[in-house]
Amino acid sequence: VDGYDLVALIFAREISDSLTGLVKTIDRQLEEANTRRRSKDKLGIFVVFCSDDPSLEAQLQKLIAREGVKHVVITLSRNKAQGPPRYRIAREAELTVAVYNRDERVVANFVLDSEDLTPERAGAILTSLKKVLP
Amino acid sequence: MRKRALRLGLFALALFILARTVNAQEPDRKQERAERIRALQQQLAELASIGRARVLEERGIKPAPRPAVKTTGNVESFAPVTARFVRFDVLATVSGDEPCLDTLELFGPDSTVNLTATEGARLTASSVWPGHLGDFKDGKYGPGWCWVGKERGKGWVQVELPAPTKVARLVWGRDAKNRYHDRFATVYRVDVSEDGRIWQTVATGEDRAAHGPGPQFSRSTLARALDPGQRKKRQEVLAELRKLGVPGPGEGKSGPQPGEGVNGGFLALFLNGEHGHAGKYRCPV
Repeated sequence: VDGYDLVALIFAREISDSLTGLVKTIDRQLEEANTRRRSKDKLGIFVVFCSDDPSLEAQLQKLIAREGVKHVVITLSRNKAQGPPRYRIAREAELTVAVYNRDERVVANFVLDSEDLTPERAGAILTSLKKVLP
Repeated sequence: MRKRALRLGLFALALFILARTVNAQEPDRKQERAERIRALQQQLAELASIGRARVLEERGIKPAPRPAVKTTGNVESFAPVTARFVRFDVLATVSGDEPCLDTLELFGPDSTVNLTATEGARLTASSVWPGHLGDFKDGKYGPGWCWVGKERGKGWVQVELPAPTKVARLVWGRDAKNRYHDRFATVYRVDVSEDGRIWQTVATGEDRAAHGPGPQFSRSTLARALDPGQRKKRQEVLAELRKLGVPGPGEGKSGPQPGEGVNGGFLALFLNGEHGHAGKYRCPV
């Protein structure tokens, strides 16, 4: 997308405290990385919500305002719960994370329930991101 | 030289016996592992069921007293009543098509004798699909019996007993072999009569859960409804399953895999961002 260099895609189904915590941590890391990088193209980490819940957009707007999420881009998939077909998001998967390198190749993939996004597992995701962030 | 050959021979024999013992134990270990996995998955299902009951309660959704109708078979129990005519009246079918039954068994109180199949019992229906007249067997119930009505989404089939008899239970189903999942009754009632003129309703499907999966909640929502001890237990079960090489229910393959490039564009509504994209559909890749 114009103005973003893809770093990671996070496909989620619903808001949870653990996901919010992860997004906030990534947001801080992105701010620092963007400052170091000094490029007009920002680093792109997108959370793509794949859900049929009509109230989710309003919930996400509230979350963005409350938590002050600026750098992580929160989006809603047009394909709703199915998610973007080419990305083959499993119907069963609550949370899918794909981390990309500078050549836009996937270097790590995580699939887990949002309830199982423990500090250890969030740490593993953050470690993967750190490796690709400048 | 001969001693050395003998030693080598004995060593080879010992190896052979050892290998056979290990191989003999292998199926046991596999079975043990499979049984453990089944037990763990059962524990997960039980915890999810507890979570589901709590979520339903928290949201004020009362579970129906009886489960949803099944294509394979359903039981209607009612207070014993004397009847000569028992009618299963279909008021709606799952597919909206003509109703179908392959089981219609009638029992007296505490009896296992199927009155529908006894001598002198006669079956009639509001209509019979022409191709199924053979299955309807001239009003007699027996092996291979099947009824398909001619009216879309409705119709009745009736058991006429040779004399007024105490009845208390009706078993009905669309396909005992679970091959077909259309045409079964979702709205129905069981009426009884002594003379074929005055009827009394003894059972309906109104107290059954609606057909379909019911309200759906994510696994995490169900897990969050558990007590801290139960949540810990769930984590332990999941960890043991992972150790056994079985991913958790939501940990299968999903999304772009390592080594893959960008899989192509897609549209998503941006809710924030730094380039004035908020509120617009853009492609994030």
